[in-house]
Amino acid sequence: MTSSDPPVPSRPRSATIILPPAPPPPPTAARAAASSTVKPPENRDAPAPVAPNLAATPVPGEPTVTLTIDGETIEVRKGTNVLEAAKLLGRDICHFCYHPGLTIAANCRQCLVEVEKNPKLQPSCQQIVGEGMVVHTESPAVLEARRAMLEFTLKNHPIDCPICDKAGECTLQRHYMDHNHHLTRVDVAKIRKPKHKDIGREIVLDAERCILCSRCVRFCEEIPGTGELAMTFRGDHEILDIAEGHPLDNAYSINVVDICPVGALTSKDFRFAIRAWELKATPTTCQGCATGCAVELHHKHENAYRVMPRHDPAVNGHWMCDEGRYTYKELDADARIRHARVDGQQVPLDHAIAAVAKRLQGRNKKVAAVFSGTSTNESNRALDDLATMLGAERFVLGRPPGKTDELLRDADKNANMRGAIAAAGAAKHEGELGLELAGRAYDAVIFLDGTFELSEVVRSALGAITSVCLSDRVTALAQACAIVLPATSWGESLGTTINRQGRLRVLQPAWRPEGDRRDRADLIREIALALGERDLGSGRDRARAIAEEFDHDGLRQLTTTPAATRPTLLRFSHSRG
Amino acid sequence: MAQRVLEFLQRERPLALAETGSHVGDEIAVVHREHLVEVLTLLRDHEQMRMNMLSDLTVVDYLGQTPRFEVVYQLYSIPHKHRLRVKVLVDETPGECWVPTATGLWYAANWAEREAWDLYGVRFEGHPDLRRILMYEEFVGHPLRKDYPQNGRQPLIRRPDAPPTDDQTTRLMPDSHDRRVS
Amino acid sequence: MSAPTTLPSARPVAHTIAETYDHRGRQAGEMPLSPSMQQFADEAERLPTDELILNMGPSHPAMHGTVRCVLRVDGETIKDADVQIGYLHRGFEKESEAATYTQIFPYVDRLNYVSPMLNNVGFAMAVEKLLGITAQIPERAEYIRVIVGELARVADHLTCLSAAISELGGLTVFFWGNRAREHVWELLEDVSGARMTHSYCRIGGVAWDLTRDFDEKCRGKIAKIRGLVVDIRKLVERNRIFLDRMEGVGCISAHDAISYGFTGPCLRACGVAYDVRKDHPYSVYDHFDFDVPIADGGDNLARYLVRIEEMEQSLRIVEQALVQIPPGAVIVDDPLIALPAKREVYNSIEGMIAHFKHIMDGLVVPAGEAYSFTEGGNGELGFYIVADGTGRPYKNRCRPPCFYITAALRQMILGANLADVVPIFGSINMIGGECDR
Repeated sequence: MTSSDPPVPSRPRSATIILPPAPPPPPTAARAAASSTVKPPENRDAPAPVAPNLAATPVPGEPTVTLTIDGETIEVRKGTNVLEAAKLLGRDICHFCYHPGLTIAANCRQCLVEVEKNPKLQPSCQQIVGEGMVVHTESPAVLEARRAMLEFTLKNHPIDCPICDKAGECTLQRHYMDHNHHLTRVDVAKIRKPKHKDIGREIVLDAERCILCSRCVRFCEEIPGTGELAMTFRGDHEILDIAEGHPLDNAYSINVVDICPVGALTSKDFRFAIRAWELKATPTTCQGCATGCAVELHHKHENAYRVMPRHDPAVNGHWMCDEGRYTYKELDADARIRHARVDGQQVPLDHAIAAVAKRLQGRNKKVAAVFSGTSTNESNRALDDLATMLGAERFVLGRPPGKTDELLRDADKNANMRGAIAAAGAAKHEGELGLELAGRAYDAVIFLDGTFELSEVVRSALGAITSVCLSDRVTALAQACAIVLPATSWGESLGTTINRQGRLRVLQPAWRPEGDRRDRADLIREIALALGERDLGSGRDRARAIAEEFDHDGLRQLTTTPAATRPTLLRFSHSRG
Repeated sequence: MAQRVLEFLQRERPLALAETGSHVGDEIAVVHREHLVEVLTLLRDHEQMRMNMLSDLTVVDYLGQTPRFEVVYQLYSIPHKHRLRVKVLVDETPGECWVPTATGLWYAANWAEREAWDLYGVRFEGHPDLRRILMYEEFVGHPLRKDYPQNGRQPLIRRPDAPPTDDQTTRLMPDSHDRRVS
Repeated sequence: MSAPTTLPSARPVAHTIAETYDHRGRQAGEMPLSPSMQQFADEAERLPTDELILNMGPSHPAMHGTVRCVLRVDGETIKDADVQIGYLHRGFEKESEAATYTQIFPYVDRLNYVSPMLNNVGFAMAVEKLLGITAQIPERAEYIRVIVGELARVADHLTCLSAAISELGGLTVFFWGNRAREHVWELLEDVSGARMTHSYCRIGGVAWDLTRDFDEKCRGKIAKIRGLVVDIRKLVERNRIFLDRMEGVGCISAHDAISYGFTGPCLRACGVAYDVRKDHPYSVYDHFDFDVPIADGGDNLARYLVRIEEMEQSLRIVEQALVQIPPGAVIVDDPLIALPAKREVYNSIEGMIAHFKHIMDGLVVPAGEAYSFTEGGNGELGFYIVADGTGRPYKNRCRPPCFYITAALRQMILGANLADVVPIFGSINMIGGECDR
């Protein structure tokens, strides 16, 4: 391949891997208010960032700085660092300790660049941009510095790749292949440090693998503010450690696993579960509470393995809480309901729909429709339409409130209570539902979800009346109901929820539903058709309508393009291929 | 040596060329569809070109870009020993997903175009017998397209005289969720 | 339908290659029929007949490689044919899009599975062209590739000829040809560990070096193979049945052959002198002194002659390569392309990471496209690879030489007898794995 060849005809050779699009802008406050008849209790914004805002994109109205990087001149926001400025030019300077969500430490020395008029190489994460600065990121001195720094970092690194969780998504592996790729020059025994040490409720520490970047130390100090981790000792013996009797126990501890560039900190829950390159990442929303953090669901075929946060400056920044991470367990394959059941018998779906219609038919039937704060807007609105057709009494149920804090955890553990309330309009409360069911006030009840926790008395009352449950997993309520229709879980639905800020949050399906599982809106559509009523439209149509209502570009694209052509995230973001 | 071919084309049919280039020693010419047969005929018949062999004909699917498909012809001249890669860009919309056939120029195009149709769904207008060649007739979809999944399943072919079975899976709502049936 | 107006003579006639037979195998200057026989023939011509649709189905002892020919026959003459392939389509291209470049070698083995080393070399060269390291392949690796490649070519031609002739009824040739092929496979098994699906090449060279006794063994086996080939030739080339069934049967003109995209022995049997090794020398083929046999006629016999002579030329190349091969490395010395030594992998983190990323991510090939062609067993074996900058190809197209040759099968059998289909099909060496991929 000679350099004098003209380049390939300019048709860009785009890879099948496309980086995720920027998060969509939030809906305006006016529209958000119009879609809910109940005033949201609080409007908590994303946690204030601790680190200085280092984003390099120039903001109109703010001062900018012009500098030259590798011969290209660029104008960036004043106050940003050279590393972020280089990102704007598409240049990814390798680094370990820098993280845009944390303060700058500049201790890894991997991001060194050459700045003219400066005798020594400067860490680009710490070097704030100056007017007229000239930076070289690929000069021989810089390349040698990178190579040498990696050599030092690798000198004591244990040969753990085959047993290390991080293999495949490890920054050290990636930088080695890109910037060093030479064999070792030393033949000295590596230093030994504590391995697989249990340092907390969720985390296992392997001190040998630690490259001492201190991201986790800074995280624990700045984000939850608990500061359990610290670097102790010096030189070759420096290790990451906790204080005796003070384990790593905060509610955001698993974030340190994400930010650790190597496999030093691993999650007890995820350890050895699966290899990172086998996973696909689908961008979706956490359903753990009303905050609605932007997350990626990591899955292989039809099984979910973990949840990781996506960067969303308006909602959750770079982080998510540990409780939210555990929501992937709700998608467990063993508990899934794949086929409909009528009176305990498994039947084909159309039989079950027909049975529902038959039992709901009749002039004097008193029906209760129970909306769910854990289901999507599309499902709730569909139930609203059905309730109107049946003249049903509306109730809204959800999960009981839980722990809250100043950061990301909301007391309301329902991802879409606002959307459910908005769809239901004027509704009665949970307590009344229990009494009325026990008192046989209704002939039929439709539960949008199977996760409501109703008392034994109420559940036993369900056997006598027509009870329909649209459930995605086996629960006590689903087993108590006469008819169970298999619904999709949040991992398989295309839908939306409204979070505590009134923003529209989007759920993207990670895999196609198995068996007879269908979207709740689609099941309700079929029930309506079986009752002889009008066609309510599919769940996808409703999602498209919601996209128009909220002017949400991302959702609009999701609902109009077929699944195959939508860009997917890299399977794991540190991959080279 | 193949640089000569590109220079010749640029001299003789500049309007037909969308762009030209080379990569790792291979010469590439992207041609407009309306001029394709003209250019191919010229390449085959002209004294200086004599590209008497259609070495290969295939399609590349750049899903996500417009136009989506690239129909690639590898041409070779036995007397002059030079090669050229000719490409035509084709969009995926049903009215646009076609290319004029080269069966009038080389016999090799007959089966090669059948294969391109079978695997990618690009029509070749004027082909005497455009049907599937590698896949069976009842196959649904075009398997080498990027949106055909790796582990794609096909509908079972039921014999016309076979009785209907009473299996649990229903065909209740074929469009409700994203089934990628191309 | 018309009955033959003359019957072949009952007396045995000495045959030489120089004598020509017409399309129906009738010898020039045959005796006319006796009056009673002539009457019989005239009556036969007036009998009402119909055409028959006959299926030479994919499951057929002679349709090796699984091909289906739907024939419309009028008596014994083929009026029309529909050659249907695809029974061995395994989705090679689709699978390659999900595999790393090194993982594709086993797939490539199974393309032309009677000469897998040639496929290995072809694919490796295509990726090396994209990487731009064609000039950096160590010379020893190039020589090894040539040796195993030419041995594979010998195996390919032996397979074709033994199968083709056994279908004519010459079962002895099948046994002798297989014996010769066993010699080749034993050699290749020593080198790669497998008799047929070697996966021996790597991007940048070959997987490991030849065995220490390879030179000696190879020379011994070449002598044995030569002996068997000589025996086969003696048995076959003056045999009247063989010549009757092969000469003048399955003719195709040079112009048609080129238009169909013929390459390799089938094209050289039409008199066209095109061999990738001579016309566009690659690897170290320009270091050797070898000839390329060309035959005229474009019929089965010409194809047979080209193949049998090519085997001798391949053995010549192997002998010269065994003399010329230099010592040295067998794979390019670039840690981004070749796997590190196992000693490094198990004892240093750098080697471990390099091995890990090579296997898991694959060998990163910069974005671009290339069409690389080599002389496979059946002709120009091309690989058109589109790379997207990752470790897996975006598109990996194999240009199968026998696909284009099989496309011409219909033309070659039209007008021939039903019994001629088998020798014609046998002589084009259609390998299902390559044709259908």
